Amino acid sequence: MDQDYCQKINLNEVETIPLTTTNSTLAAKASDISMAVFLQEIEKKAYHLALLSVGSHADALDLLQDTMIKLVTKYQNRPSNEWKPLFYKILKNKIRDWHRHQKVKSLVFFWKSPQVSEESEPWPVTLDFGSDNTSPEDELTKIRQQGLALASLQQLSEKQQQCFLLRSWEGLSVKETAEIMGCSAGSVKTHYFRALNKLRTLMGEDDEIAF
Amino acid sequence: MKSPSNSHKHKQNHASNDEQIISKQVNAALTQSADKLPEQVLADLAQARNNALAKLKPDELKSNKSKFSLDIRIVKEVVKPVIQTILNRYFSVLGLKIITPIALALVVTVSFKALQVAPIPALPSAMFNLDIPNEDLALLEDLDFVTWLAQNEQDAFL
Repeated sequence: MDQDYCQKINLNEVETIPLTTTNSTLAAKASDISMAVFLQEIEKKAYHLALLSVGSHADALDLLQDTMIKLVTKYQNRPSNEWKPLFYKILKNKIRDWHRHQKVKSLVFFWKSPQVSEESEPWPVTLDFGSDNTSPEDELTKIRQQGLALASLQQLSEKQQQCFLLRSWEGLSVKETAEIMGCSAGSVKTHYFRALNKLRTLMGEDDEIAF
Repeated sequence: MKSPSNSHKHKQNHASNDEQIISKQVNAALTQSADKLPEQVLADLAQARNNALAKLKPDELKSNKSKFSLDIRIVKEVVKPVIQTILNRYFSVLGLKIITPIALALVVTVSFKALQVAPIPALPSAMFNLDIPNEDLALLEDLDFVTWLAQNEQDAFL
């Protein structure tokens, strides 16, 4: 991942920055660009994680922006290999704060029934009919599997979701995931195991119902 | 006939294969979902990213500000003590024993003089209120003139 950033920085920067630019300016510019590349690469996965947790596009976007701002303002001088765990740790804390805020809000405004946000909607299943090699049946099966997988993922608990996304989708190690989630490595393993079991059960059940 | 340990291993392998398949399926679904996000969402994400990256500029300003504050600190820490030392060393005696009483005396004198300034006497109100006829005014002017002449003669004799 970091090698990719470095390659991108070198490819972009060596050609564009004039030779008269000082080393400090060059370093600052490279830092800006590498941060931009990092954020661009991580934003979609992070958005999915936030969306799974809060269920609303606007809230997920707010949390993501706050996380990005905090990373940029507080940790931009850290080595780039620390950015990813830091980013997810900040995001996880923001999500936790958001849930606490919602809890307090529901206690204070107890007479108001919990409103489902207008933008909160079931996970959109993306339809891709562009490839000509696959038959319509295969496409349909693929779409159904995708929808099923995402719906099952939504049914996991928050910790299980985070654990699964960080370990399996983002490919972080148990140690890194434990640091992000603020728990022990054993807890991470347990969450991951339970998440997989639940996914297997849910997807198996739905398969049986579907067929 | 399979041994119990073999069947256990077989079950474990089967379970891990299942887990891998499920994990792959979910990952593929997530990746596809991430790749095919709606344009609006992508635009929002780009906006959020740009907002965050825009915060890099104030950091540079902050560093400049810290340099400026460093300059002020140098002035405070170096120049001020030097001036204080000079004042203490060369002006302490003068300041306390001579300059202070002189300054006090000046202040007292000035304020006393300010109090001693005689007030300007108000004009007699009769001058404004009475209507003096022109003949009387002419007589008064003559009287003034005669008085002035007499005074001059007296001064000349003296």
